[in-house]
Amino acid sequence: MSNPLDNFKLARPFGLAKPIIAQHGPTPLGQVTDILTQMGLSELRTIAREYDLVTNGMNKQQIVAAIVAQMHHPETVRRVASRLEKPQRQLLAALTLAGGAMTDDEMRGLFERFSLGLVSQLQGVLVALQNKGLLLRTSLNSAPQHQFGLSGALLDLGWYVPTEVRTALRVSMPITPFDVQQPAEDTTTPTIVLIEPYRLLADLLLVARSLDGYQFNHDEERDERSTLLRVPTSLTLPNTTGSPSSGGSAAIPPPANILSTSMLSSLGTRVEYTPAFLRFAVGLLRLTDILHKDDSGALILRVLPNAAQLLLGSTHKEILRELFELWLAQASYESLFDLQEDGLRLRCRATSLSYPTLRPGELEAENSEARQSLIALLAQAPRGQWINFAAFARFIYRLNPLFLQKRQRLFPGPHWWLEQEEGRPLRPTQLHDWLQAEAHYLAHLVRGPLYWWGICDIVLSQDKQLLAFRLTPFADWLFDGLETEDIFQYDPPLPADILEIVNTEEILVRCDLGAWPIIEVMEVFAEAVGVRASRLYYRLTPKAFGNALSRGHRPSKLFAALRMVSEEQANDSLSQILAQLEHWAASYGRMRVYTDVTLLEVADTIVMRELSATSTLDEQIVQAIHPTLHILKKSGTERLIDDLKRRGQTPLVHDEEFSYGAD
Amino acid sequence: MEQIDVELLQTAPSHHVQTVLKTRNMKGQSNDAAQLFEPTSLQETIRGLDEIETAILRELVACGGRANSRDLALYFYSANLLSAEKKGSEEAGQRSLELLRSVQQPVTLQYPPPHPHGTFELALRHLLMLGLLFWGKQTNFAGRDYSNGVHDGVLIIPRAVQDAVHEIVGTEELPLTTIGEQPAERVHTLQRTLYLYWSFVAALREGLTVLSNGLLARAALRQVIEHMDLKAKNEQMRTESDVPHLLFVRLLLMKLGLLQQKQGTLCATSAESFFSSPLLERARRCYHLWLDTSFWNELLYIPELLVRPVLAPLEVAHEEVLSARQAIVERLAYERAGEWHSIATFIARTKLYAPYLLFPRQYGPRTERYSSGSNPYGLDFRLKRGWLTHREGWHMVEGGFIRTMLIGPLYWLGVIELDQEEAPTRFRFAERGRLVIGDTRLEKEEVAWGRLVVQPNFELVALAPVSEELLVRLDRFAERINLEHIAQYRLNKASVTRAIQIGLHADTIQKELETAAGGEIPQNVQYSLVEWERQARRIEVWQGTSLLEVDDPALLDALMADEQTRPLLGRRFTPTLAEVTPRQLLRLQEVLWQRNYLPAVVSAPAQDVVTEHGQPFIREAQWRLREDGLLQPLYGVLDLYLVAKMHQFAELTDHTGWWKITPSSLQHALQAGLSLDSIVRFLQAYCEDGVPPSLLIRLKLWGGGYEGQQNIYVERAPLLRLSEQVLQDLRQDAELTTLLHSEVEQGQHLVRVSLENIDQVLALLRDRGFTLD
Repeated sequence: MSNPLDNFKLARPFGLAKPIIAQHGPTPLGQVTDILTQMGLSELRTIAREYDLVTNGMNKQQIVAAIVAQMHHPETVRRVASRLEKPQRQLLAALTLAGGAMTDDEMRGLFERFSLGLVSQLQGVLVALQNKGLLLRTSLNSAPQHQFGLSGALLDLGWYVPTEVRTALRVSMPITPFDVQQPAEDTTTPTIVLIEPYRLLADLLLVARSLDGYQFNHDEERDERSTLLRVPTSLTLPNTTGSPSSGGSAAIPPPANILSTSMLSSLGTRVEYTPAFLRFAVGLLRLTDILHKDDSGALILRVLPNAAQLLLGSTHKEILRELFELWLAQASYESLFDLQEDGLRLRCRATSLSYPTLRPGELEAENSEARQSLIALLAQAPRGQWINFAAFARFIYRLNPLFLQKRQRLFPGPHWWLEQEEGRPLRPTQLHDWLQAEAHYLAHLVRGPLYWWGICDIVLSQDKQLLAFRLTPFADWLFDGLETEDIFQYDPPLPADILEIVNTEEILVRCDLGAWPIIEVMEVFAEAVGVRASRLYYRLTPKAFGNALSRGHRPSKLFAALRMVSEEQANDSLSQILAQLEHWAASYGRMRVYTDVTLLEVADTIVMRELSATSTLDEQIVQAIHPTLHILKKSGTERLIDDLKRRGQTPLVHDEEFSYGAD
Repeated sequence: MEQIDVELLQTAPSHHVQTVLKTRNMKGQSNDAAQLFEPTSLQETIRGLDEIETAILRELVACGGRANSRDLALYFYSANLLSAEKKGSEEAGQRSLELLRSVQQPVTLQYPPPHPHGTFELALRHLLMLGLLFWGKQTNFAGRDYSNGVHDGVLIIPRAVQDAVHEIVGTEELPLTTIGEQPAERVHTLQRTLYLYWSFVAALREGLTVLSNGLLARAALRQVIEHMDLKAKNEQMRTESDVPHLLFVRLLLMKLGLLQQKQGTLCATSAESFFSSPLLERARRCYHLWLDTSFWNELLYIPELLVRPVLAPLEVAHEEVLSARQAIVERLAYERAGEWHSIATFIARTKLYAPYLLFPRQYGPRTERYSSGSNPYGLDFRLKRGWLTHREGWHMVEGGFIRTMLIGPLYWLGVIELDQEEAPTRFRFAERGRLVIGDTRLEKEEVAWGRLVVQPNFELVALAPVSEELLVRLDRFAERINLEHIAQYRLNKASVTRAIQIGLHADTIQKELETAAGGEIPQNVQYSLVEWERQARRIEVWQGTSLLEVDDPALLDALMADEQTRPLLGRRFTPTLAEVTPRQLLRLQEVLWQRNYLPAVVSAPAQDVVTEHGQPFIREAQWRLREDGLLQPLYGVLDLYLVAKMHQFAELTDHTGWWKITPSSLQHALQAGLSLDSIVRFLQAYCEDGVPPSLLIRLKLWGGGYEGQQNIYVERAPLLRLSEQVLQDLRQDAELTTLLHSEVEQGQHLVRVSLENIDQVLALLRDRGFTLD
C-alpha cells in the first residue's frame, strides 16, 4: 500500500498537492494546443498580442506554441487577467469554481444567477475573455453522456477555462463570514460544536466492537443473501402496503444494506450515537471490511482482529485519509434517502406495474458525483474562517443548482426527483424549491459526514439548525494531502478516568486516541469482549494473558498502567487483578502444553535399531523420551511414513481427528 | 343469546327471518327472532336434519363456525360425503369422480359448479331456511334468494347453534393412541437409512466433498446414490437437490450431530450414543428436529411452482413455514389410523381449518399474498404456465406445501404410508405411526433384537432383527459383507488394524463380541485378535497428540492422582511428561487455570527448522544469554523444540546444568551444516535482550563470521588523507613518490583512537579474540 504522503512529495509546483478529488464536469475533447490550433489566425494573433508576443513571420503552429508557452507562466496569466473588467473577472472565477467547463445554456444561467449584467452583455464578456485566451470555445465531452449511451452526436459545444489558467489564477471560493461572537440580531446565542481530532476513528472502533458477533435475524439474513446472490437488474419494488405508485411514479425503496431496526437497537444498548451516525459508521466499516461477515459463511458480523491497531495505532492519520477516499468513492444513495427526515420523499419514474425504471446504480452514481463536486468546491474555501451556511448554500445555488441531479438535464424529464407533496416534484432551478431539498442535502453533508470526518467545526442555532461552519486543518489533509503541524503534532493527553475496573476480571477502557497506549496493552493481554457504556470492554483471562506471553510480549506495560490507576483510586478489585496477573506471570512456564505433537513408538529396541539403520528416522527425532518412544518433527513425519512403507514396514498411524469410534 | 348472534341475525334480510320463523313454526314477529336461538328449539331442529345436513353442520362447527361455501362443497365432493347423490344418479357419481381427479391434479383444479338442485346446495338451503346457517356480510347474492345454496360466500353458524351441535352431535375427537404399541417398519426404515448413510460417510477417510453452496459435489453424490442403491435414477440426478430424500437424510444426520462439515468436507462423528437409544425415541427425535427446526424448507420443493427470486438450495425455513407445519400436523392427528385418505381431500379440508396457512394476515392483503411485498418471505409465487388466482392458488401453493410435506418429510420419517411411490394420491398412517407424532410417554421399549453368531471362520452373523447399535459397533472392527434382514460381517487383519488405529484394543473387541454373542467366542478368533494387534502395534505413529510437561514431578503426581484431572491425562511417559487425553486439552487448560496455573502453550512447528520463511516463529524468549556464552533458562520448563535446536550448537556445563556456547560447540554445529547466521538469528529471537555485543563478536570470530578478515592492524600515524587525483599526481612526482608508502586497502575502515586509550582498546580487542598486528 503506497503512502499517501508520496503523492504530496511528487506533487505539482506552486504549492498545490495532488488532491484526491477533482471537479466532475464536462471536459474538452483535446488539449489546449489542439483547441488553439482550430482557431483562426487572426484570433490567435489577438491572443498573442495580449501576451505581448510578436507574431511577425510566425506561422500558425508557432503562434500556438508561443501562446501555450506563455500560459505556463503563472505571472503572465495573472498579468493578463488583471486587465479584465469586473464582470469578466467574476464570470471567469465562477466558471473556474464550477469546474472550468460549461455549455452555453449553463453559462447563460450562471451569468443571470450571479447578476453579472444584462444577458445581451454576456456575449461581449465572453469575447473579451476569449480574446485573452482565458476562455476557449470547444467541444465538451460529458462523462454522464457516455454512461447513458449518448456520446457522439450529442456532444455539446461549450466554454472551457484552460487548466493552465485555472492553476495560475488559484481562485478561492468567496464566503460570507459568520461572527460567532456577534451573530445576526434576530438570532439567539449559537452553539459552537468543535470536532475533536480523530474522534471518528475512536467512534468507528466502538461501533465495530459493538457489532462484533452480531447475529443477523431472518430478514437481515435474507437481505444479505440477496445482496450476494442476486444480480441487480433494477431497483426492487417496495412493499405495496404503503403508497408506492401514483401517476407512473414510485417511491424509491431504502438502499441495500441499510441499518436494520434490530441492529440499531442492539447498538443503542452499548453506544450513544445518533442513528444517522450509526448508519454512516456501519456503512464505512462494512465498506472497508473492518466489519465483515464471518469467514465460515455464518451470518454473523466479525471485526478484524487488528481493528484497534488500524484505527488508533501509529498509522491512524494515513488510515483516516484512506477511509475518506473510500467513502468519497462509495456509490450509495443513503444520503438522499436520509432527506426523508426533512419530510422529503424520493421518487422515480415507474412502469404501469409500478416497477421503478431507474437504471442500476444511476441514483448511487449521481449522489456520489454530487458529493464529490461539493467537496471539490469546499477544497477551494478558505480554512479557519467561520462560513455563513445560508450564504454558502445560496452561492452553491447560483453556481450550480443542478449539482444533485446533474445527469437528469440530459433527459426530457427527470428519472427521479424529490417531492414534498405527492405529485409535485421540487424543481432545483427554482430557489424556493431548491432551498427545500438541495439546501437540506448540503446541511446534512456538512453537519453529518464532514463534521464527523473532522473536516469542519459547526455552529448550530438553538433549534439545532446549521448556521455556519469552519474548515479545520484536517480539510487540507483529507482534501489535498497537505500535512500541517496541527495534524502531525497532535498529541492528545492521556484522558483521566481512562480505566474503569468493573470486577476482578473485567475492565472498561475509554475509547480515545489519547488512550491508545493503554488500549494497545489491553488488546494484547486481554480478551476484547465488546463495548459497554460507550467504553471498550475487556476481560482479563488466563487464556489471553498466556497467549500474549507466549507471543513474547512482556507484561510490564500492563502492570504499569494498572499500578498507575491504583495510585489514583483505591480499588480492591484492582489490587486483586494485579495480584492475579503477577501470579500468572510468575507461574508461567512452570508447565508447558505441546499441541500437534508427533510421536513414534515401536514394540522394542530391536525394531528401533532396525528403523534407525534402514530409514531417515534419526533426522526426524526432536527428543527421545524412551528408547522406544520419540518425539518427531512434524514436517518430516509424512516423509518418514512413506519411507517406512516403501521398505515394507506398515506403521500404524493414529490420527486424533479420525477417532469417532474410540471409546 | 349472545350479541354476536344478534348481529348475525341483523345482517340477514327481514323477509328471510320471517321465512325462517315460518319454517320453524314460530310466530311471525321479527322481535321474536330471539327464540330462533332458544336451545331446546335448536336441538329439536337439529335432530330433524338428515345425514348430509348434519355432516355439513358438524364440519362447520369443527372448523370454527365459518367457512367458504365453495370450499366446503369442494371438500364434501372430493371426500365423497354426499352419499345421497352418489346413490342417486350415475351422472352425479361421474361428476364426483371427475372432480376427485381434478383436485388430485391441482393444475386443472375445478371447483364443483353450484347447482340449484345439487345435493350440497339443497342441504345448505335447508339449513339456511332453518336459521342454522347464515351468509357472511360480504356475500354477493347477485339478486338471488338469500336462502339459495349456490352463493359463493362465507357460511357462518351462530354461536347458539354451535352449542346445540356440540350438545347433540358432539365434536370430532382425536383418535386414541394405544400405549405400548411398537413402532412399525417405516419408522425402522428411516433408522436404517440414517445408519446406511452415516456408515458410508464414516468409512470414507477423506469424507465427502461439499461445495460452497452447501450441496454435495456431483462425484460425492454419485457415490452416495450408488451406496444407497438408487441406481435406477442415477442419470437424472445432477445435484443433491434432485434427490430431496437423500438431502433430507443428510441434513437430518447433520442436525443430529452424526455428520459434520469441516473445511469443505462432510465427516462422520460418533454415532453410538444415538443409535443405542430406543427406536421410538430416535424416531421422535428425528421427527421433532424436522418439525421444530428450520433446516428443511418445503417451499423449495412445491411442484409446478416458480418462486422468485430463486432461493438458495439450502435456504432455511421461515418461522411461518414452521408454524404451517405445526398446523398441518395438528390436522393430520384428526385423520383416522388404518384408513386411506385422499391427499386432495386432506388439502381441501385443511383449507377449511387453516385458510391462512403460510400467509398470515398481517403481511398484506389476502388477494396479493403471492406477491413479494405482501408475504413474509419476500417471494413472488407464480405458476410455470401462468398467474395464480386467489382461490386456485391456495391449492397450488398452500396445497402444494401440504402435499410436499406429506410425500416428503412425513413419509420419510415413517409417520405415514403412501399408496404408491410415484405420484401418490392417498396416504394413511404408517403402522402405529401415531406414536411418533404423539407425545405419549413410553415407559420402556423392549425389542427382541437378534443375537450375534461368531463363527470360527471369522464370520459374524447378526440375526434379525438387527439393531443399528450393533451394526455401528461391528462396523468399527469388522467388514460388512451383507445387510438385509440379517447382517454378515467378516473379521480380518485389516479390519482389526483399522479398529486399533481408532483407539480400540484386542481385548475390547473380544469383550464386545462376547457381549453381543452372549457367550465366549471361538478360541482361534481370540488368538488371532491378539496376534493381529501385536503385529499392528509394531510401529505406531501418533499425529496431532498433545503433551503436558511440568517442572516438578510432584506436580504431575498430584494431577495424575486428582479425580478431576486424571481422566484428562493419558499415559505418563516420564516423571514430568504425560499425554493429554484426545480432545480434552481445552478442558485440562480450564482446570489448570482454575487452579491458578498458567501453562505455556506450544504448537509443534510445521517447518523443519525453528524459523519460517527465514523469520523466527513468534515465541517467547527462553533464555538470557550471558557474555560468557552461558544460556540461563528463564522458565522451569523450556520449549522442547527450541531446546532441541539449541542442543545443536551448545554444550552442557557440569557445574550449573545450563548449556553454553563454546568455540568447540559452535564449530561442531557448523560442521553439522548449521550456518552462523541462522544460529545468531535463533539466539536473537529466543534470548531475552538478544545476544550481548561482545559475545556476538566472539561468535563471529569463532564461526568465521568476518569472512577471514578478523585481523586488526594497528596503523602508525601520520597518514595523509587526500583525493585520488591528487594521489595519482603525487605518485608521478619523483621526489615525493619515494617518500609515500602503500595505501590502506580498499574496503577497510580507519577509526581514530586517541593515544591515551590505545592500550586499553588493544587489550579489549585481544580479549574479544581478535588477532592484532
